[in-house]
Amino acid sequence: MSHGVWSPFAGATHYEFRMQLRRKSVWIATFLTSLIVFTGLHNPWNFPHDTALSVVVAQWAVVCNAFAPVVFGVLLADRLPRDRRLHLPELLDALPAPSGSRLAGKYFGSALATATPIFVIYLSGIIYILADRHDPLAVPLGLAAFLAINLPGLLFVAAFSVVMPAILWVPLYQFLFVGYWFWGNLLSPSYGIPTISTTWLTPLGSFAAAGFFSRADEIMTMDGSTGTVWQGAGSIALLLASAVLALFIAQRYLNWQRARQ
Amino acid sequence: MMKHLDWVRYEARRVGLAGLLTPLLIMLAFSGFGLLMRANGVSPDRSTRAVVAGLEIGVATAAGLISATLASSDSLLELHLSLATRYRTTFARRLALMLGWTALVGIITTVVVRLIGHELAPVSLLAQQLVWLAPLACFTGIGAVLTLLLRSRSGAAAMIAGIWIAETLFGKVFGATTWLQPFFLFATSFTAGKSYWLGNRLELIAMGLLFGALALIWLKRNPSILLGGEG
Repeated sequence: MSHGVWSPFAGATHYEFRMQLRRKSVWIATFLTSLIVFTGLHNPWNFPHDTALSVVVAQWAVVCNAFAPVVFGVLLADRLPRDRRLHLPELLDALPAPSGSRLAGKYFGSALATATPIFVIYLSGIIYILADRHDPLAVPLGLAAFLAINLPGLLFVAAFSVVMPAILWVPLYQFLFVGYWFWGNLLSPSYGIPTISTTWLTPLGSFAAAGFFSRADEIMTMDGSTGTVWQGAGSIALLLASAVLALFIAQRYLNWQRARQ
Repeated sequence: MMKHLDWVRYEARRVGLAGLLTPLLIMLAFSGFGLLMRANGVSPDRSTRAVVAGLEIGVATAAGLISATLASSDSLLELHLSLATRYRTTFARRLALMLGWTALVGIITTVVVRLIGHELAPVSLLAQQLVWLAPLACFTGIGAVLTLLLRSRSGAAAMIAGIWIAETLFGKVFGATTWLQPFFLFATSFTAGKSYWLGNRLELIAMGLLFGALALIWLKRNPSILLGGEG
């Protein structure tokens, strides 16, 4: 990346990150809603001691990924409309910084900041596992599980939550997004409605969890799917590629919109 | 009269096509799910529940999200606060418009379902209106109060999404636990015909009115609360 592209990207990421991290509502909404996470049957303290460490860690990552991205996606939906409301594009378009770098910076900065409270909640479970098992491997395993299971799903959700409100009314997008979460992640195909849950395009991270962290039958996922290492890698690649595609199309759309003004 | 019509027309234009179409689209989508379930061999009773879910979960939750947005969606809020028409009056009008329109969609749906020979709940057509009215009132009140409390629309929307997820995933627990029953917004979808249903509906409406009143009193006492919020 050339300096003229990199520098605005880094600047936008930095400011978006700080701006989003300081919002009290991000922390309050995430923490309160995450109380649901602790009511399940697959929390770190629900497993017998003979369960493999990797299974406990990966299961905790999947549990966090079942609920937290809903709040995450809803919170990110106001980032582009906020700029429009404050007439920031008019100001920023007058600067030499490329709009693509700004959009990418907005995406990474706000996504990483909104994921921070989720990571804190996830980390609390990993610390519990560490204290309970006295096995320092819980920490690197926990970080690897977050990177493989949670992060691709969060980046996928963030891409759509940041860009879709460019064409959809924010409450409508938020509604459709939560509806999608039920339909595309938690709904069993046996219900009689065609669904993409149990496919690679499920940001829940079931394939990564089952593929990388256990034998297929050891992870109890929300959608009941299982997977191999290759399926796990395929699912991550598909989620990340979809996120990049969404950002790319949104960037083209925003440029077209700008050219029409 | 003309003046009232004028503001209805103006506010309807402000909410826009997306706002007005939202409850309609939700009902069409859930009815489509119901038809799809029928086509896949699911029983009529179970597929009618898709329409119940559309009214009770879909339309009501969307109203909560819209209410959270309406509370602070005026980009000229600062200017508005200096006008003779108080902001809480404008907010109440917008809320009334949204509720009125959503109610119309709810009533039409219950009547259409009855006309095609199905029942949304084992009660009279009049009482069936409580299927959508109770969660609608409650979610709208919650949306307004949370926006003022958090001073953030998206924060309030995230909390509503959390309530939605929690009550859907733990629907059976809410239905079976006595102290949780008054707070169960989706009682018809999960436990239609249970003895606590009518009480639950009335309690939810009371909570909605209480939250709505609280939001209006809050805006009266501190009209500038939304200035400088998180957006």
